[in-house]
Amino acid sequence: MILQGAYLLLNIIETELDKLMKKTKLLLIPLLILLAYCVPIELDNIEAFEYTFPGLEAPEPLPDVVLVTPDKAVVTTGEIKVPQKAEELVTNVVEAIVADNISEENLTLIDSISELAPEVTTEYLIAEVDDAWIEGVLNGTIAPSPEFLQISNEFEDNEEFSALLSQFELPKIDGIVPGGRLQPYSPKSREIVINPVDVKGNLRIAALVGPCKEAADELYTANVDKLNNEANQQETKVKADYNIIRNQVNADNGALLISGAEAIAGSVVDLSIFGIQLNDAIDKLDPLVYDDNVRRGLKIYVAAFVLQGKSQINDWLVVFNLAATESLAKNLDAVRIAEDTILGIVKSNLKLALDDQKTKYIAAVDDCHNQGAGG
Amino acid sequence: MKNLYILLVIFLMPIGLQAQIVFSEVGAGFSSWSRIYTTPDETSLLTNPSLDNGKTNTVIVPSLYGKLDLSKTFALKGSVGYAKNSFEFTNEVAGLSRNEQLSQAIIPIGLTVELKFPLSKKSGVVKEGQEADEADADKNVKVSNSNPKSFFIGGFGLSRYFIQHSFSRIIIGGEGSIPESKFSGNDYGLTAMIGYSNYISDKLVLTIFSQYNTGAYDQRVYLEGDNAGYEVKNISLQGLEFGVSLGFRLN
Repeated sequence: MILQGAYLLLNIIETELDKLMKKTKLLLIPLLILLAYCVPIELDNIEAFEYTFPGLEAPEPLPDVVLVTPDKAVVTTGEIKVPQKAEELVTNVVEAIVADNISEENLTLIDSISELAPEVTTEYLIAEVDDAWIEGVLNGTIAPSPEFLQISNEFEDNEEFSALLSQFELPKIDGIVPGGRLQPYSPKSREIVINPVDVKGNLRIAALVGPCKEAADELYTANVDKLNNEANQQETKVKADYNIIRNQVNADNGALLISGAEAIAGSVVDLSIFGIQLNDAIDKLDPLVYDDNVRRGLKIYVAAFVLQGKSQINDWLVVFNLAATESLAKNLDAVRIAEDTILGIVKSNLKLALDDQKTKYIAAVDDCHNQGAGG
Repeated sequence: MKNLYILLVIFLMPIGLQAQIVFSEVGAGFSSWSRIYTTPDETSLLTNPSLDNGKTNTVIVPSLYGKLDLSKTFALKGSVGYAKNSFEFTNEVAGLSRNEQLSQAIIPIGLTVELKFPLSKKSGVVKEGQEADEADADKNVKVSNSNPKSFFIGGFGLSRYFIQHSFSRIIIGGEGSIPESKFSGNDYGLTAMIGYSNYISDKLVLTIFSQYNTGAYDQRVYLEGDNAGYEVKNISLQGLEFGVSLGFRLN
C-alpha cells in the first residue's frame, strides 16, 4: 500500500517536472545546482609587507661622551706671623725681668722707639696698654684712640722698626692675590642646536600618501625619537654628573671658609699671646734698673704691634673672603664650561645623526615618489 | 533541506531528460580576453598598490566545450577555459630591493544557453518532402538531411571563475622574503555572447564568437601594522572576449 502510494507520488512528480522541463527547456536544473551548491570564496593573500629601510633602520647609537673634570683653583690661605727679630726681643725682655740683661743693642732700639709720638705721654701709654686693651683691639672690641693710631703710623713708617711688626702673607688663588688681577669671566657663546621638530618641518614632503612614505615616516620618526631620547639621556647624565662636581665645589668652598676662619682665629691668638707676653714683661721690669723711657719705648712697640696686627687681620679677612668668592666663581665657571663642552658634543653628535637620518629619509621618500604610487 | 532538494533534482533529472537532450557537439578553441577594469587591478594585491582603476589587460584563454541540443533553436553549452596571467612589482628604496610576483590562473567554467538561427543550408539530396509547404518545414528538415550550413548564434550564461594565486616576495638587503604561497577562491559572473558558426565539413563546425564577461572576485589585502587586519578588495573580471573554436558534431 505504501509502495503503491510512493510510486503514485513519484509518477505525479515526474509528470509535473516533465511539464516544467518542457517549459524551461531544462535550463533551470543545472543553474539551480550551480547557484545553490557553489558559494563564492574570496582569495586570501600574503601578509602585508613591512617596509624596511636599511639606512633608516636601527640608527647607530650616539657616541658615548667622557666627562672632563675641570681643574680646580688652588687657594692658599696665607698667614700672619710674628717675625724672628720680635721673638728675640721679647725673649730678651722676659729674661730681663729676673736677669736685668736687656742687651745694649735692644736698649738702643728701645730708646729710639721711645722718641716716637712725643705728644703722647708715658703715663698715658702705661695706663692704657694692658692685657685687656691688647685683646680688645685684636678681637675688635676696642677701637684704638687717635694717639695710638699716630704711634702706629710713625712706627710703621720707620723701616728699622717695621721689621719688628707682624708679617703676613695674603691668601692667593693659583698663586695670585685676588682683587682685580684675575681674568674677568666672559659668558660662553652657546651653540644653536636645531630642534628636531624644526628639521622635520623643513623636510620636503612629497604629496604622495602611500604605504611606503608612511612606513618611511614611521621609521624616521621612530629613529628621530630614539636619537633624541638617547641624547636626552646623555644630557641628563652629564648634567647629573656635573651637578655632583658642582656640589663638591660648593662643599670645598665651605671647607675653605671654615679653614680660613680657623686660620685667622689662630693668628689672633698668636698675636694676642705675643702682645700680652711682652706687655707683662714690661710691667715686671725693675724700675730701678730700667727707667720710664725703656717702658715707654716698649709700650709704644706693643701698641704699634697690636694695631699693625689688627690692620693685617682686617686686610687678610678682606682678601680671604675675596679669594673664597672668586675661587668659587672660577671653579663653578670651569664646571659650567666643561659641562657646556660635553653637552655641545652631545648635541653635535645628535645633529650629525639627525642630519644623516634626514638625508636617508628624504632619499627613501624620493624613492617612494619615484616609484609612482607611493610605494 | 537544500541538499535533499539537490539530490531529488539530480535523481529525477534522467527521467525528465529522456528524449529531450542530445549531446551534439564537442570542441576546443581559444580566445583573447581583454579585461577592462572598473576597479583596481591585481597590482593592488601587491605591496605597491595602484590606486587608479586598472588598465586593459589581455590574456589568451584556451578552452574546451561540449554542447547539448535542447531543440532546433536552443542548446546548452558547457565550457572550461584556462587563463594565466602574471603581475610583478619591483622597488628599490634606500638600499632595500623588493620584488613581488603574483602568478594568477583563472579557470572559467561556463554554462551558456545558446540560440541559433540558420543562415544557409548545407547542399545535399532531398529525399522527400521537398515540395512541402512552409508549415511542414520542420518535418521536411528532419527527413531530408538538408541541415543548415551556417548559423548566427547568441546566448546568455553563467560563469564560475576558479582563481588561483601564487605569490612570492624576495627582499634583498632586508627581511621579509616569503616563499611561493598559493591561495584559491572563486566567484561568479554573467556572460552574453554572439557568434557565427559554419560547417566546414559534415562533422566539423568552425565558430567565431565574441563574449562579454561580467563578474568580479573578492581578494583580501592585508593592512600594514600589527593586527591591522585586512580589507577585501573587489577585483573586476569583466571584459570582452574574441575567439574561435572548432567543433565536432556527434550526430
